[in-house]
Amino acid sequence: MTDRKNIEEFIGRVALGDRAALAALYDATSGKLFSVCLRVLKNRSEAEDALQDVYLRIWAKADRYAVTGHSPMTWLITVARNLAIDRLRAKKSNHVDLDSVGELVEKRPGPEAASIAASEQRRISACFAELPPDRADAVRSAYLDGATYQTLADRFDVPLNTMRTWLRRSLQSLKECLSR
Amino acid sequence: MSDLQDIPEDEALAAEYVLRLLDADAEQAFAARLQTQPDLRAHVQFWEAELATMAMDLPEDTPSPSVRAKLVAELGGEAVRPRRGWAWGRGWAWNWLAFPAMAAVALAAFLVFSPMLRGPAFDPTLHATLISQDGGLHIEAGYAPDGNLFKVIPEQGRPATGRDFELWVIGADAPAPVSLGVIPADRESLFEITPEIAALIDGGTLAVSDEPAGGSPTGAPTGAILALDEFFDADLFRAG
Repeated sequence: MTDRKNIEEFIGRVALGDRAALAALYDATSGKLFSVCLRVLKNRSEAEDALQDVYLRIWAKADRYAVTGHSPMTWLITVARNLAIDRLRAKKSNHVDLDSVGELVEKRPGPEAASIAASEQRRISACFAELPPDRADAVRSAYLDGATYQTLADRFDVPLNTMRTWLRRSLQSLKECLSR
Repeated sequence: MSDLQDIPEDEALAAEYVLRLLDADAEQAFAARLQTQPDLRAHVQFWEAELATMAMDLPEDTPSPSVRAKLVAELGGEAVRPRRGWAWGRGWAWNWLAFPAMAAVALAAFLVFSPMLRGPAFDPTLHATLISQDGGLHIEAGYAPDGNLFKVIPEQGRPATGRDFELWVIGADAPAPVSLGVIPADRESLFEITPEIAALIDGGTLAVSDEPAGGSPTGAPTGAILALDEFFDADLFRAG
């Protein structure tokens, strides 16, 4: 089992230009980062292209990891998610197919529900449980699917400003809960 | 806006920035402020760390092995390029800008070794050059669609005692490497491949692994991948 210390060491060696360390980091973390990309892009081939970019970016930016103050997995996930969302937005800049986005999101309740259940002890799950279920879903979808305010407003059938208010209040509640 | 009363504006912005909910202009403006305002960075860091735990709970999924192969090939190219600068041809400069580093390295080697790939009965259209990181192993390979012929020329390097070199093709969208079999390390070999394997070559990657004598017992590489190269089309590089 690869733990946090291993992954941190891999990143440290990658920062020094160690290619074998990048391969080791890939072996230890690609399953998770691929699922992050796939969740955003909803297409295996596009998610695989994104994943390759993710590790090239990690290769280029590993020396900056220490100053982010993050745990290694938080940093890797943040890099992967942002890059996947960049690709998603670039793809959709001229054409937004809202129906298909909503459909894909709604077709996949299983793994998420299961994974949320598996992490009951985590603070954030407990705090999500305090939110009204549809608002918790909206925050999760913004993070995991990279959904925009417009997509969320369409999906929950509320005006855009209402969705913004929902999200901001939900985040406020989350923050209060997490800071308790 | 009336909906901002519940949460300080900067905190809300930080959360929206992390969630990627800001439009492009607002995102850029916030990113600029982040450079100079440590308190904003603290908000961003808080949300990045908390929200990432949601992703940690996603079930893992397995990407195609070709992703790893391409990644290794790309990084390998980056390291090898400076050492091979001497081989870069005169009139080729425009090409180097347009092709990835590995293609450049492969072409450099191809220019040097191509006469050996051009027998009268064998006219390859796709090539791959396998060179290990330490330079101790070097294998040239070519594929001719006419007759589905595959030729392998071991230039340098021998397997350890009791071990064999085995070649693999990794198709661009294939789920796993497909074996081309064990190759003799002391002489050229020319063999016919199946149409199924031939279909993987264009756009695919060639790899060589270190295996037990007789080849991998499992049908997948079991030993170290010693070198990789994407197949490249020699005609692309021919002048005029």
